[in-house]
Formats: sequence, C-alpha cells, structure tokens
Amino acid sequence: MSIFTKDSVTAIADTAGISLKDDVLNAITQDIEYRLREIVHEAGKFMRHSKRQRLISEDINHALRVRNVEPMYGWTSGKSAKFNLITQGTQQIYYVDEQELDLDDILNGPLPPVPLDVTYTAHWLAIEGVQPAIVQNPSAAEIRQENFTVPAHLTAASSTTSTASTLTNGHHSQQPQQSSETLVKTVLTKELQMYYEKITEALTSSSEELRSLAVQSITKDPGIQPLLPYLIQFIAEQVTQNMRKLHITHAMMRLTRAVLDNPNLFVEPYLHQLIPNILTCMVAKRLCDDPASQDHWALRRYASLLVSYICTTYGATYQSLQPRVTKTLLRAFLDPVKPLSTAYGGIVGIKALGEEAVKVLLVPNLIGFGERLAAVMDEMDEEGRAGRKEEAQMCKDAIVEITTTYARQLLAERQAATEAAAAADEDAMLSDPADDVRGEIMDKFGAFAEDVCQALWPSINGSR
Amino acid sequence: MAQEHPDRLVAAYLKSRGYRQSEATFKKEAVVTPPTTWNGRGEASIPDFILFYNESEASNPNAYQRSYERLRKWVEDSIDKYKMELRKVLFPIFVHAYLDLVGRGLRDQAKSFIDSFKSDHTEFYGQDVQRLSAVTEPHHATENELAQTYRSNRFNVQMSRYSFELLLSYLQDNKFMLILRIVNEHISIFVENVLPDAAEDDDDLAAQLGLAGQPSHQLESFNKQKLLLGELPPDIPFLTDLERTIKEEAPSDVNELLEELQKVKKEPSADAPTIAYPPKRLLDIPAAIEELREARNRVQVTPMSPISICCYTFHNTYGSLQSLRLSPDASMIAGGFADSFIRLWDIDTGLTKGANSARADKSKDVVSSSDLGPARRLVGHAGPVYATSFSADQRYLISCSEDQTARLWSLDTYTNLVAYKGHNYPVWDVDFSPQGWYFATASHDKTARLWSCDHIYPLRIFVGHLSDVDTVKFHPNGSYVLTGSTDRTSRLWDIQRGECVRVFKGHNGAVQTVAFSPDGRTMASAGEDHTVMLWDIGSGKRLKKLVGHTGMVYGLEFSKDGTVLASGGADNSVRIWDVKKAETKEIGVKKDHSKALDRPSQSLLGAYPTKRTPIYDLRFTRTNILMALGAFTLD
Repeated sequence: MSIFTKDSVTAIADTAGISLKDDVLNAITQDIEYRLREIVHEAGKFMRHSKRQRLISEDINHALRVRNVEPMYGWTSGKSAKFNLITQGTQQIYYVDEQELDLDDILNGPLPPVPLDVTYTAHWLAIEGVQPAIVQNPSAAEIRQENFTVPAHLTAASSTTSTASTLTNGHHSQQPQQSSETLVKTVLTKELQMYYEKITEALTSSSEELRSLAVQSITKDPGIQPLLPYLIQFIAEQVTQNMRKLHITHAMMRLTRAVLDNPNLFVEPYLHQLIPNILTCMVAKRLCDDPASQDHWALRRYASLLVSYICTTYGATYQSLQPRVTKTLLRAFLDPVKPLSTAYGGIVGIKALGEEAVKVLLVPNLIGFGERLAAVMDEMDEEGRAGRKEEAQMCKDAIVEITTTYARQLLAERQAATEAAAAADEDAMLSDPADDVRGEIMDKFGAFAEDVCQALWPSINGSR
Repeated sequence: MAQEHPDRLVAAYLKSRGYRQSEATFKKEAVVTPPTTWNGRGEASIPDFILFYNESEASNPNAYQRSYERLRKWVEDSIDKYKMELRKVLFPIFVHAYLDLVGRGLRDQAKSFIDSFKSDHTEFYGQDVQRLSAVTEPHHATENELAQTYRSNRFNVQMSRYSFELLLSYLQDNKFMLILRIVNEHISIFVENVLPDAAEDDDDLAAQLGLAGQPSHQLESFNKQKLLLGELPPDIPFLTDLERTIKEEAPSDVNELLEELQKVKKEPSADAPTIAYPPKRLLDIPAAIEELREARNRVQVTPMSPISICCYTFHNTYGSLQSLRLSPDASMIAGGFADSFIRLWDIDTGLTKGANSARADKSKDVVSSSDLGPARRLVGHAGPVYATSFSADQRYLISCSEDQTARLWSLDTYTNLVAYKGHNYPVWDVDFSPQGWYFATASHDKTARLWSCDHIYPLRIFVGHLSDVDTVKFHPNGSYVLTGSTDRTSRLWDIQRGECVRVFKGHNGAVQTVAFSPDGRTMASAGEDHTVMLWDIGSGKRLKKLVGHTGMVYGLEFSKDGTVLASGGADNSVRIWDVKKAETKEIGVKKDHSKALDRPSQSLLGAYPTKRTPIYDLRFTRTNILMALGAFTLD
C-alpha cells in the first residue's frame, strides 16, 4: 500500500532489536510515507529558493530543521548517495556502497587543490534587440539542441533568416490573419521599400554615376537602420552570385564601406555576416572573366582596406575578430595549392592589418614564398603563360613594396637607436645601422632582398 | 422513525439557527410538520434539506465514490454551455470527499477514490492533489497544513444562476446528500445573474475559484478598496537645495540637469499617499545629480527601439549562489551564498556610467577576471542567504537568511549593524523601500513583515497568506507592499493600516517573483507555473497572461519607462514582453486564446537564451540597459 514495504520497516526494526506486529507495521509504513512526503514537499521550497533544479541533501536537512527534527548529519558530501541492490533469498535490500577510507592516508596525503574562486564575466546578451554571435552566447546549433523555441513571429525579424524576397513581397501581401502577429520591427515603410529597390537597382546597374550616387546616399542617410539587415543580405547574395562580375563585386565593397561609414548605422551585430564577403573579394581565385584586361587587383586592395578598417574599429570589442581574419589571410598567402591571385589577396590583407602583422606573418615566410614565385617564373618561361607571369609579378611588386616600407622603418629605428647610443656614450665604437639592416634583409628576405636594397639605397647599390 | 425523526431534525435545525422562540413553540406543539420552506434556491435552505435525510448514506463507505462518479459523469455529459461552470465545483467536492473518507479511517476507499479521479485535477491542482494523496490517516488529516487550509476555508466558486439550479436539483433528485453537505459546508457559490459564458477560458477557471482565505468577502468587492497609487509628493526643500547646488556648481550639462529636475518637480498627484520618511540630507545631493544625469541619458526602450541586455555570468559557484542583486546605480552586485556569507562585487568599471547606448562603451564589453574590483565578504548569517536588497542611497544592504533573521549591513564599513529577529521560520525575501528607511521581509511562517531600520521589532505583520510568502516588493511610492506566495496568490498590503487591500489570483503554482511598473499602476507576477501575469492594480484584474518560459521564472522587471517587461528564469533565457500591446490584445484574441495556450504569447518581443545560465535577477539601469545576473550551472 505504501511506497515502503513492511519488509524494510521490519529490517530497520530488527537492527534496533525490536520485533513488530503486523498491524503496527501497517500503521508505521503509512505514517512514514506521509512524513516523508511532507519533508520532501518542504525541501522543495528550499530548493526553489536556492534557485536550483535538483534537490540535494542540504534541502532535506533544512526541511527537517523547519519541522524541528534533528537534521541528518554526514550526508552533505555534495555527491548523491548511490544505493545498490542486494537480494538475500526473497528479501531485497538496498544499501549505500561506502568506501572505507584510511584516515592516515588522508592526513598524510597532499591537500586537495583549493577550489576556484567565484568570479564573473560580463557580456552582451543582446545589443539593440539582436543577440551578437559571440562565444559567450549559445550558437544557433546549441539553441536548437536545447529545444529553445523562438516564436515564429520573431524569427521573421531576425537578420539571418530574412531575405530580400520577403522584403519585396512586403508586409502588405501577407494574409490578414497573419498581419496581427507581425511585429512592428518587420514592417518596413513603403518609402523604405522603395528606397531599397532603387538602391539595389542602382548598385547593380552598369552606370558608374548611379553607383556612386547610391553609395553616397547610403553613407549619409540617417534613417536606414531598419534596412541594414536587408542590405547586408543583399551584399552577401550579390557577392556569391556575381563573383566574376567585377563591377558588381566592386560596388558591393563600396556599399560595405558606405554601411560602415554611416555614423547612424549600428553595424556591430552584423559584422560576422559582413566579413566573409569582404574576404571573398580579397582572396577569391578569380574575380573577373578576363584577368588579363580587368583590374581585379584593385578590388583586392580595396577589400583589404575594408578589413583593416573593421579590425581597427571593432577589434577591441571582438577580440576573436582579428585572429580569425589573420588566419584566413595567412592561409591564403602560404598555401602553395592556391593560385597566386589568392596569395596576392593574402599579401595585401596582411599589409593592411599593419606593421605588426607584416613583421610577424609576412617577413618570416619571405624566403619560401620567393622560391615559389621563382618556380612559377621559370615554368612560365617554358610554357609561355602570360597570365601567371603577371600574377607572379604582381605578388612580387606587392611584396617588394611592403618589405621596403618595413625595411625603411627598421632602418629609421636603428638609426635613431644608434644616435641615442652615440649621444650617451661618445667613445663607443658603433657599427653603421645601415649595414646591420642590409645584412638582415639579405638574410631574411630571400628572393626579394635585392629589389628591396635597390629601393632603399639606389645610390649605394648603383656604386657597387 | 417516520414520525419522530423529522420532529427531531426540525428541532435540531431550529436550534442550530438560533430560532429559540420557534424552537420552543415547536417543541410545545410537537406537530409533525415536515419542512415546507424548501424552494430549491439559495444556500440557506440546504441545511434543513440535508437534515431531512438521515445519514444512512454516509454509513456506506462506497457512497462517496459512487456519488462523485455519477456527478462527474453528469457534468461531463452536460452541454458545453454549463459544463465549464459545473466543472468548477468538482475539485472542492473531490478534495472534501477524500478528506471525509480519510477522516473516517476508510483508508482503502480513500485510496481508490483518489486514484480513480486524481487525473481530472492534475492540470490545475497537481501539487495539491499530490500532497493530499499522502494524507491517509485521520490524524494526518488533522495536522496536515494543506488539508486544514481546505477544511477551514471556503472554496470560492462563481456560477450563473441557472447552472447553480441545475446542480442543486441534480444533487437533490439523486439524493447525493454527502455531496450536498460538502457543497454546503465548504464551498461558497456566488450566484451571478448572467448567462453562462460558454467561451470562458480554461485558464480563467483557475483565476476565479480556489481558496482566497477571504471567506467573508467576495473577492471582487474586496478588490474595490480605495488605493493611493500616485507618486509621493515631491520633497520641495530638498529639490530646491538640489537646484541651488546645480546652479552653483554649474557643471557642463547644467541646463539639461535643470530641465530634468523640472520634470521631477511636478505637482503632487491627486492620489498621492502620505507617509513619513526622514528628510533627505545634503549628503544625498551628489547622488541625486548623478541620477538626474542618468535619467537624461536614458535610452528609450520600446517595441520600436529594441533593448540591450548585458549579462553577468557567475562562475565556479557549484550551486552555492542563492541570490544576486544589482545595486540601484548598477555599481555593485551582492550575492548571497549557501555558506551563509554575502559577497559584494564592485562592478563599476565604466560599463554603465555615462553610457547612453551600447555603442558608447563597446570596448568595455568583456570584463576579464583580472581587472575586477575587490570582492568583499560579509559574514554574519548562520544559514543560506536567500535575498539581499540595497538601500536607495546604497549605503546599506539588507539581507535575509534561513537562520530566521534579516541583517542590516553598512556599505561604508562593511560590517553588520543590526540583526532583525522576528520571524520564526526561514526568511525568503527582503526588499528595501524605494525611499529607504523601511524594509519588508517575507517568510516561511506565512507572514510578511514591515520593519524600519531603527527598530529591532517589526512595525507591521501582514497575515493572510495561506502558505509561505515567497517574495515581497515595495510599491514605488513606498506605501504599499506586494507579496507573492506558495498559495498561488499575490497580495497587496497597505503599510499604514497593515491590512490586505488586493488579492490577485490566477497562477497555477507558487508566485516566485513580483514587480511593479514605475508608475505604480501595473504589477507583474510570475513563478512556478512558468507564466508571467500582468495585473492592473486599481481594478485588481488581470491584463494579460504571458506564456513562453519553459522553466520557473526568478526575475521580473519593468523598464524605466514602463513599456517593456523583462523576465528571466530557470530555462536559461531572458524574455522581453510588450506591456502596452498586451492591454489591447486581450480582447481581440480571447476567442482562440485557449488554443493558443502552448504557443508563446504574441506580446513576446524577444527571447535571448544564455549558455546554461539560469537568470537569477534582472535590473534595468537608470539608462534603461537591462542587466541580467545568473550563475553558470553544469547540471
């Protein structure tokens, strides 16, 4: 009848040396169940106020104290006790398997490590209604796993799922019974919809004048925040669909720039969507139909500037941003399987990230890359493929330019240091910093050393 | 028997009603007159009818089960129009029939009774049914708290006149005297002269009935008591001082500050309460200026301009962190631990100071543990610290604990100043008055108490809840206290009179947290049943039920302009609700509302999940950025 069998009560009574009659057992099992339920109910309150989801032995003890019963000592180890079953004849007995501990071992053993102190971290759970995709927030996959249902009328407003098509269909074509569920956020005014249509039309048109005007408008317009997710979606679509149409990808990069430049737009939550597009325009294999006649190099340079802009502006906020970008760039630069046009993108990208990136990422890899370039140049001679020659030349020029700047800086630094040292100690014999730097260049720059030296010291080199 | 029995019964009836003369006359005449006054209407006539029958039915232990089963079948078979109303009486009949059986020691019958019918009631009363099912012995029934609550309070049911007549005539026709007696003894039926509302929502059902603990009043008329919900009248001398100081010091934003000050300095509203507070001092002026400045920089949080949420996640707590509270100026966090101490963290890292938008401080978005301010420990309690509350001027902290005390701490010296002993059971919640000076505690002993910092005994004891008082909150004007309880109600108490002035009924579980809107006219409650409810305080009526959470709700807070409500809880999420939309929405969707029960409410503006961090507390800073506090949990 009760959740407690008479057997268990008999067993407990036996341990105290008491034998009980059947009707007494009956009454006791009933009473035990009632008391236990009451205690557990009480303990549930303590669990609730401790904001836990699991009942622990402390809760039971608090409940016992409230009921003026002596708490059970020795059960507050933190681990829940595990009961094992033993069958003895027909009797089933549960017991706690407790390990026997040697006190000497504990006393002589090393102290357990001090538990970590309670600390806290702060992060943005939402910025102006959008949950930024940062490490501290659960990813989309985790949200799905936890069965966390975001109501349907909200997902329509989220930037990731909204597409240009839902926008152009607009709020008006929706069925009337749905309109009550649509949030204000998703409703774009007619004016904004028209504006969006005009802008996208202008950007994809072939007229340079129209494109410039559209970009200019986006840079300045104060009222287009609601359009931002759609614009970003538009950029992503255009870039992926029109990889070979230079004027469109270029226009998209200018649009990206405009979106970033507009002081009234709040781009932060969308950065993770913007960056892949820009990187595509930097390191893609082919960005135009005819590499020989079209200047896709300019697009790569432009995109690299955008990346550097984003990294300097938002790098402090999103610390993982720059490492991620650099990783992609370095891979583009070093991977020998990838074409040289991709490597070029990597080179200009690294340059745009600043001196430190050049010093750490580019300079140590110069020798290897020089050999690769040389190989391409030789091969070209045999097969006579002008395209690859040009690519190699572009890469070389870019590297020479970057390293020259780098070397010049280095030289200036060393000179300053030497002068300072000379001023401090007039008698000291100091080597010429120029020699040092030249030695270093020869050591590290590999195939590019000569060109760099020439650029740095045209006169000296000429006299040799 | 045919002759004597009615005589005796009539005499007994007259005696019990106190009709002494009639009784005397009756006895004298001893005329065999069966009661003829029976007209089938109204409660008053039931007792004599019951007495008319002897208790032969009661001697049959299976009578309860048989009668209840037939009544239940009759209710389920009745047409939809009346079914909803008739269903309401089933639960109290069920409870009392069970308790009757238990009370007579008919253990087996009681068990089979509860087993066969408990599934009907688990949706609304699951916990109560479970608790009652443990009561199996007569002496359990007399000492069980819940059983006593049901026994000693009448269960309120509202129904239309016609349904009531249907019920009565059915019970009489079938001679279900046991049930009729239960109806008479333990249920108050308020008969309304309206047609039954066939489309009545299931969830309204819970709102109308249940134990109110207010047997003498009808809840609706009770909730009509006059309230003074207006803001406190402005403290003119202090504001004048403040204005002078601003003008003298003339900071760069002097004009803006004065403008903001004018907004504060309005005429007292017609329903402003009067309550004594010690006057503010010159010491408070810098804080007041800072408050004005932050109010000036407030971001509008409306459905149109969405919200920014900053989440503080606490690590390595291993379930020992029991409560978290952010100070009013968002510079400190107090955490109460199971190990009896309180920790204070100084989070004033510029995150909120002068930040008028999320954009302004993007570089401060992650505070690494190395540049945290010092964490201080306040030691004094002897049990888990369940809640803490900062005073308005942030010079004091009040805390409450399982050790049955509340303690006042000075944040200048970081020492314990006073231990307030009064409750005899664990204290669940504590809240400082928005003006300081007073604070209220809520306890396991079913009372909430009002204290002033300078008295070691409570000034008021608010008695009325039928179970634990789980949460307490001061009204923005400091003259009312709102409590939420395990008895599923929230109550508003007048601190002047120490009396209950409003009862809010409707939850299907304990009310774990409550919140006031800044204008003091609306309140929200939430708790165990995973729903958030919005109430109009003036009328005591529910405005909206907000469905969406999948776990218990721990934190509720209105934005500073009162347009948006934020809630967070055990389901590791923060949800944002539109307050205003809720009010207009209710009428339109009422028809299909019962179907939409599982669907999240339409006034949900956003749902932001965390990484396994239950949200313990939510606070809007004065600049309207939402701060969510929670402890990362592994299990």
